[in-house]
Amino acid sequence: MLSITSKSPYAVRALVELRLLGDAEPVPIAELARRGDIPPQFLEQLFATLRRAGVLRSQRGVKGGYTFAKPAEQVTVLEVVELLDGALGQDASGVFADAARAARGVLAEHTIADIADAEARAAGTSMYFI
Amino acid sequence: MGSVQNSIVACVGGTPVVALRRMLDDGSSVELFGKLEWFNPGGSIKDRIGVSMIEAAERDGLISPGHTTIVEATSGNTGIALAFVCAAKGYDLVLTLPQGMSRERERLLALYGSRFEITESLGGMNEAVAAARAMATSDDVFLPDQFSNPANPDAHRRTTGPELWEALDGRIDVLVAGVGTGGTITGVGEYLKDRNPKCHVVAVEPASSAVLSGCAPAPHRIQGIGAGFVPPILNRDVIDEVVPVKDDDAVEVAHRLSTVEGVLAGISAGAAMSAALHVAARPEFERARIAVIMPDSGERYTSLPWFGPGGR
Repeated sequence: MLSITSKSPYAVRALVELRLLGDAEPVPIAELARRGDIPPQFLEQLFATLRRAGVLRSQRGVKGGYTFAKPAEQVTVLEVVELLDGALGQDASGVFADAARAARGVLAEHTIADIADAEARAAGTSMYFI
Repeated sequence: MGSVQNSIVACVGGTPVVALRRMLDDGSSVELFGKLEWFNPGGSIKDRIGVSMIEAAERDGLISPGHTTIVEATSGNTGIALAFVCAAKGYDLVLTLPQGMSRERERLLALYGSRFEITESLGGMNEAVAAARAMATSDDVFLPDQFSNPANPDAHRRTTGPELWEALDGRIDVLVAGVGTGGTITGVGEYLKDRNPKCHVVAVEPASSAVLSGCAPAPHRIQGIGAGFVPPILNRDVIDEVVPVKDDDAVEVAHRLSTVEGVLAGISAGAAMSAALHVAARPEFERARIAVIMPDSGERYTSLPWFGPGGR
């Protein structure tokens, strides 16, 4: 009803890594799994769902891998969560429905691009600690 | 008065080299040594470049006390080094930082009389560097710019390298040093390779921002290394191997240094030692003498939740 499993954080992590690597060429899923410290077979299942939903595009072959099927600026965390973990608070009522609505609001405010950009900015501040 | 120094600035360098036998596995034939750079007066290896960059600019006639304001974009150990050198020599120091960044070191820096210029946006490094450069457009402002100043690696070529060589009687098989600006590994690495071309030089970087290994920059916790870009002064030719170290491993090894050796190492020192232990375990380095540069003390990080006792 209100559950977010490990599927969602893993998928968001991998999508952020994909965004950080740029969209010039497909990124092998093994590379994303390594960077995000995600079990590769688990990530394959998650990405298959996201591909079917039109979030990702995959390319086979030696230079195969994944790219975004739609801009990372348009992919919200809520969309990823609901594709992988189901609709948040679908059968909830009363205070639980309110809680689900609040959670949906927070998750809808953040896109994959937002998270990646914030991480890139934070990475840039490393130099000030030197 | 033979033992009296004229200024705190003259007290930089001459840091101890300590054998660290208890960090190694029982039966290891490796000899492991740490150069403890927090014995410098400002508490870190950066004291060497603080002096070197200011004195190089003085020699070049670019700056003079009472006239020039020194401007640098840092709150790290380089800020502290510049703060005491500028105080001792009579320069004003302004440190620029982006808004929203942790400002916990400001109090320490302010004690030396340093001032801060906080740039308004959270635009990361670009805006604070731009602010520093904007201030430097007038004649009486000087930017040391540690990432591109040749006086940075030169300090290590002239002092850190020779000190290490002398302390270890010219027998160093492996050098391990973290890469922040790249000054230490460039200067010490070049000095050691000149004398022993077979010396294996190991660069250490954060695993989560392994830019030298070809990965994208990302946030990490190993303060002092991993700038997020390849610094202009880094001589990559001197590096034989890059070892990425995870944040948790750096902290864990730093804590082990404290509890096992009584050496209160900082996070980047823990990272360098973690890489050194990784190298020491390889068969090809049996009986090797491994020198590890340990930039600062753990005392500087006790307020960080993930570094204090039991913290993660």
